[in-house]
Amino acid sequence: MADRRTSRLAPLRAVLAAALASCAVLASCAAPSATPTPAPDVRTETDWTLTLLSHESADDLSGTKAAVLYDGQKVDTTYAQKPESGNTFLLVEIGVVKNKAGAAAFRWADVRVEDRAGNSWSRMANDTFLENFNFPRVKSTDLTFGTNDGFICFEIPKSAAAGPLYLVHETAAGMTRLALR
Amino acid sequence: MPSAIPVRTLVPGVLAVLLLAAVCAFSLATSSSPVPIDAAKPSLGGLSPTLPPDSSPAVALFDEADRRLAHQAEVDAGLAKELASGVYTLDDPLVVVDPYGVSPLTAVVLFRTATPTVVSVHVAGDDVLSSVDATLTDSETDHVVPVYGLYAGRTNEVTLDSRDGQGSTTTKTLGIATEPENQDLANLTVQTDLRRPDLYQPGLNFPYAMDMFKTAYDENGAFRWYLKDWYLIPTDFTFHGHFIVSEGAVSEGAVLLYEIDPLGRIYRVLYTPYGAHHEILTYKEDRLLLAGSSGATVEDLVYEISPDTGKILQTLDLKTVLQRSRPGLAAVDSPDWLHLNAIVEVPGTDDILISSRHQSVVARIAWPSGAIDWMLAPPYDWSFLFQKFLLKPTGSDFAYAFNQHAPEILPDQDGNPDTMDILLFDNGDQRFAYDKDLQRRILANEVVAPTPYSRLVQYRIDEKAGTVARIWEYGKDTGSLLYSDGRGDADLLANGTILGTYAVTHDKVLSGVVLEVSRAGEIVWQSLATSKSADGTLETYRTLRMSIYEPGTTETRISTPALDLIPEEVLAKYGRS
Repeated sequence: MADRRTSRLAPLRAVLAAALASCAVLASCAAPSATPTPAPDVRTETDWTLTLLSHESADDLSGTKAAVLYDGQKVDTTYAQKPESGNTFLLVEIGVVKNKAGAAAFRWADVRVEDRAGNSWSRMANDTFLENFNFPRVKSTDLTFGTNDGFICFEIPKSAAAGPLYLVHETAAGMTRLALR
Repeated sequence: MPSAIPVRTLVPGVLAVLLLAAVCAFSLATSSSPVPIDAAKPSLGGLSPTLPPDSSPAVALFDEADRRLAHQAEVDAGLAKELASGVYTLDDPLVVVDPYGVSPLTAVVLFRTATPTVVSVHVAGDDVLSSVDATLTDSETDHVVPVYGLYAGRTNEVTLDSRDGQGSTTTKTLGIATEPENQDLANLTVQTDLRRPDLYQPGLNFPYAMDMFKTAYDENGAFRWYLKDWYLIPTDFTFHGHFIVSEGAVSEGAVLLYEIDPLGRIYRVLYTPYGAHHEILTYKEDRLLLAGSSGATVEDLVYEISPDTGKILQTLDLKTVLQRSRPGLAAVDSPDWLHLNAIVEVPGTDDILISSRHQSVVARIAWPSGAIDWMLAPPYDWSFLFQKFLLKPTGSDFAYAFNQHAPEILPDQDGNPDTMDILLFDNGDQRFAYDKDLQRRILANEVVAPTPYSRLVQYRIDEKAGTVARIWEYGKDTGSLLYSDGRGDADLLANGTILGTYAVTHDKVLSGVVLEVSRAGEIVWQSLATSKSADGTLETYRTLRMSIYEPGTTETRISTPALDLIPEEVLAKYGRS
């Protein structure tokens, strides 16, 4: 079961997709392999501070959300998400905090996951489905402001998920490389 | 996303095909079912010391409100700090998409100008009609410019004009990228057919419900606003330029009402133990009237809340007003005997109109006494005590409305102070039920049951004479194609066209149809909303056409904390301080 995730960075914000009174969410990862980072890995760049909180892989995601309809009936909406055959979802929980006013935007095009062989994968173009399964999620538009913590999702080959992986943020100003231990 | 399918002939031909194509395996009954009720009846006239039937949802509501308000305070403080840094200019502003994390097709733009300026916003649309424009009302140096009406999954062209006191204008064009639609929204399809762009009343279409979403879509069917959180159907989109959305119980039980702007920024939170269904109405500008439930019956309570204090000021149990024993759509002993589905303020008076679906009655009553002035209702089965209130029809073309929804009072139509024109959605569910001879012949297989239909209808009520006449109608000829047994809406738009909302069921699948028609009955524009979800059902109710920048929505008051008006005694009841 992968129920509501709690960020250690900002507990109050850990329930971005929290169940409303009118809905209850149950989510499950099929055969998830959660790997909490022993201690958050914090890297301070010029403009942003990155914190790696945890990561896990999931071969599929499924769950239901209950809603109150027009007439008071409660119905379940079922969600399911599967990667391409041979792939897995790599969910990375991070914090991205702006250090100063006027900082350059944090662009997801500058973020990738890579393995030791140098293969790399970008964040999924649309990982809004994470919210269906009650994962707090960092939005995929450029970050320009504040504290942004939650999950982002990569779709990578299962074979790559078995080995060492790194979360990389690379801009003209430099590169930050965090190990997904 | 708008469909590429041309739908020039949605009504009547292609619409039928589209509706049939929406058929899926599951169904949803379109009429409201009686809701299980609790025998414990809270006292009226104030907050009950009795907990609602199930107190656990209330606690979850409070938790969620706490989380939202804490998050908002954090965002507001961060934005204020950024603005105070003074590093942002119109030429190089701070752009934050969806700052509160709930309204993905919005943004704020922050910057400082050397002198006070007034800022105008232009969000480029795919065509002239779908462009969004607004001028902010305040002249200031620190600007927090709300940007509404962005498209999903693209880089939007947004132009800001900053005009100073001397009339000098500086322009900045930004590219603001948004996320793709989330899965819930992507499950919805809106197909449109704009036949008369010259007659289309400008604005976005705000369904009260599109499934569980609060959304707005343009004339092309493109979503231009939505909230990620799910809310109940009752909504007030006109509360001083903000919205009132509700969360919690449909029938008696805890509900939180949030005043929000299109960014999803919360301005106040109110609590009620009486549930919320069908109507949240801004009454006399400074109060809210809601349709709710209390006690052993449901959906027969009108109550008034002060948005300033959060206190419930008045309640009116309609069992003390209307005839409880009259047969209607629901059985006499049904808890949902009335099904109050609309409350309308009568301008210039304390009176209100109430609309009952199950009794097919629209009544003008005094608020809060409940004294009846008149009733527009089919004349069947009324006690002698109530017959004196019935309006008498005039004109050969008059026909009663049955199981109607969403009456609205029109601006003066004839210069006669004794008349009131109302426009409503006549569902027609029981249109033929009271014709005893017809029913007998149908049962005897002597005749085929008539085809049901729904219509938009305008009545003129001579309140002095106690009469009613039909002035205009649309839809009788559409028959079963647009028959909407359970929901609907009819609105007069500013340019004189009429906007009708239909919840149509074909092969047990609900879809939403919205039509803008001229007085001549010409279709100006129409949309068909369907769901790609497993059951194929799409919830709809009413639709409002309006600008997303209404007066009041042009300011984002990040320095004004949200008012949490959940009464202390209520929190204490649930063990919260």
